[in-house]
Amino acid sequence: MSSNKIVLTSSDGESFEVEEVVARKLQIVGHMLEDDCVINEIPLQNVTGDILSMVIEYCKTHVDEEESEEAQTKLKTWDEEFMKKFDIKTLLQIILAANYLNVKGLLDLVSQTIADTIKDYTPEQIREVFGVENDYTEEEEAEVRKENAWAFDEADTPKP
Amino acid sequence: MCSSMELLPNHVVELILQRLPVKPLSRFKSVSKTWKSTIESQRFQQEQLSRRMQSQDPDVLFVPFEDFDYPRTRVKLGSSIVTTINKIPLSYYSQGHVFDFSTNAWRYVVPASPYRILYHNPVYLDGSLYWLTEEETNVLILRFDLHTETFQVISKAPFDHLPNPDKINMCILDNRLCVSELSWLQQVIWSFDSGTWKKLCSLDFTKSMSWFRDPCDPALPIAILEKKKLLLQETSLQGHEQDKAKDLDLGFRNCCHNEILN
Repeated sequence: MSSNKIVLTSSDGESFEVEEVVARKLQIVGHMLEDDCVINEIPLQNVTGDILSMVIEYCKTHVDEEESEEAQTKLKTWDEEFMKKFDIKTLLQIILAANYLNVKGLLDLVSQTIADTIKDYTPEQIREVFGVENDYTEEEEAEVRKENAWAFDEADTPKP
Repeated sequence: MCSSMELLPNHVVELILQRLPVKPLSRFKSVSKTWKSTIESQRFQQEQLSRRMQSQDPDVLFVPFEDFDYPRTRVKLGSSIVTTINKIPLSYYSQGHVFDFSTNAWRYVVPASPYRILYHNPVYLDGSLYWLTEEETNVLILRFDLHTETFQVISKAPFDHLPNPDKINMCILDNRLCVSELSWLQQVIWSFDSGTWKKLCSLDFTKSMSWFRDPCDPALPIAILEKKKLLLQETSLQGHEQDKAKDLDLGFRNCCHNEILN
């Protein structure tokens, strides 16, 4: 692989100079590079600098994915530690970015981390964190809750 | 960064939900109408199923499928099963269907089950599924080997008469196949050990008449707990479609502990 440098620019104007192999982990960038051979600077309009820096950190670490079991275990441990740094709001920003930038591995990793984080949430907490509007009437909601009452026992005490 | 959360696109929400077990998914149906219809869609449930099959700690899965007699029957699988199972057989009325996850399709098993299978969920033990089946005056134990995809009658049930199919059930206790029969207020549980049936215990419900359960239904033994306690599930739950997704550990709330009388 060439060690060609590419500059990625976030929506808030922050620039990151990365090697082409790293930038190609962002499939959206990979496609752009294939379409047009000479690009040095790529503006990424849907992602802010702080989130983009985390995505780049992930891509740098995963740039050469070795097959060996040892390398895989090491990466897995790194992934776990990496994910521990973020609160749920940041995780949701990262998943949006991973989706937009099309970074498959990160998308899988963050989806799983979010799932593990929210599994004990109440529906109220979900609405708040995901910004979902409750479109049930009071009666409808009571009915759905009643049908699924068994799933509520441990979740009734909201976590901070 | 904007302070309020941007709405996640629906397909991204699905990516997250696919990785959740059944219990939070059931709870999250209350979030909004969109979330409910997502979670209840067949496409989503299939995605969730295959995702959970791949994950390290699959728990309880539900597979909705259309069936001739029992529309939207759900097959439930516990944690011990999903690591080894990759197909779900379903048999009614001498027909055998297997859902093969490698092809994502149903297919017939040939030869089909030699007997009509009594309607109940199969139990899983050591790579095979077991059902109760009846032949003239006997109740038989039918085994379906998931590896070879063959049916075989392995034994006659220990009942000395032809019982009412509603009064018998089947379970796994301590890694042994067990059957039980409720006769008036006595329920006897047998365990299949090295080719013979041994009476494991007898439950006497006369003292628990005020108990929540309907004495017409046999209780379903779930596990032998320490200190010789038997965990039972109120089986009338099984008849209700909306309760089908209840899994065993959640069954605790609907169970009571009963001393093993031996």
